[in-house]
Amino acid sequence: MKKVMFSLLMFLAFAPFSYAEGDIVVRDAWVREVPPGASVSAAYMTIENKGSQVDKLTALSSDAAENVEIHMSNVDENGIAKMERIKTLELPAGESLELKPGGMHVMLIGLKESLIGIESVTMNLSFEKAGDMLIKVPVKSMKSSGEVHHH
Amino acid sequence: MKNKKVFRILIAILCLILIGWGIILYQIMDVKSKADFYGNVYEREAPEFTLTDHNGSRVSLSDYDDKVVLIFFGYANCPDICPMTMSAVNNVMDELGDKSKEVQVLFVSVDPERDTEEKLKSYMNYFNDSFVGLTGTPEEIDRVADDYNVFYEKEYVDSASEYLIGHNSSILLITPDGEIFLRYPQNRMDPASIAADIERVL
Repeated sequence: MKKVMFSLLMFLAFAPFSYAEGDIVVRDAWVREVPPGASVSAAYMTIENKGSQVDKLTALSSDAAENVEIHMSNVDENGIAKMERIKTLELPAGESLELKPGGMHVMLIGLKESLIGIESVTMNLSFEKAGDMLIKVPVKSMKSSGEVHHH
Repeated sequence: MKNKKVFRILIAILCLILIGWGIILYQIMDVKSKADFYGNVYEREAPEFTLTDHNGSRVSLSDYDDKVVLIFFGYANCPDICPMTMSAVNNVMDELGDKSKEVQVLFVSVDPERDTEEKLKSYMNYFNDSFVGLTGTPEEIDRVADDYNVFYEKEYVDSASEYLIGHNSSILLITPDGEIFLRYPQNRMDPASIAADIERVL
């Protein structure tokens, strides 16, 4: 029990911005704060495979949602946004994959509670080769994205 | 006598040439000024509609004929594109400052089965309490989407979410005189540039 508490404390105290497990590095993860009552949200991150072999992200879970899946938003030439589920995300050797708004994203389905006022959620990523990785994903408000540039 | 007639004809020809030049110049300038807009020029009459707002009142497009209307279609369970669009529009309002009072943002739900008035209300208020969420019966939504050339359909992807909705994600700018003037697809959602367009239209 003491050991668990200790590692939990260490985890909280030294929660890094990037996480590594085997050859896989995950960084810049964040999840979108959504309006009260919304049952879904999306998370984004960069996943790098530093190894020389292909790895696969096969499963995700989170304390914040019933289900966690990877989806891809596609906006076609007619402006129609469609989503596609990616069941297994291939991570080519030596490459970085960026999950970002308007493209590939981690979808949190069935939020257990509102993300408003919560600093971060915990997410577990299961890689075929690198194994499990527990990460802390900060919640970001999108009300004003900071993208506003005044002139 | 003869000279006078020739003179008159010359004057008439000169006038015609000047008018011709005027028309050509006007068209060139008009085209140029339209090309200067950040949004894609659309220029279509905005079809009238009546839907239910997030407070349960029936509202029509013509209720906002003293404002520039930014209208787009989406749904509350949309995790990626819709919140991106919502925050872009909210940033447009921030950019406009005081002038944002002359702009009305309308969000039409393409998921009337799940987007109740209360749900839309909390969704809108989260971003900006001046935004109005609109819903209606599935038939009403169908008609409005059809009138606005907005395609949407339920997608039953193999996912834990019951269904997602593929939909047109552009923002339409409607002028106070009832014309869909500009269109902003997903790759044209820079808030400062949209705000600059609105300032020119106001």
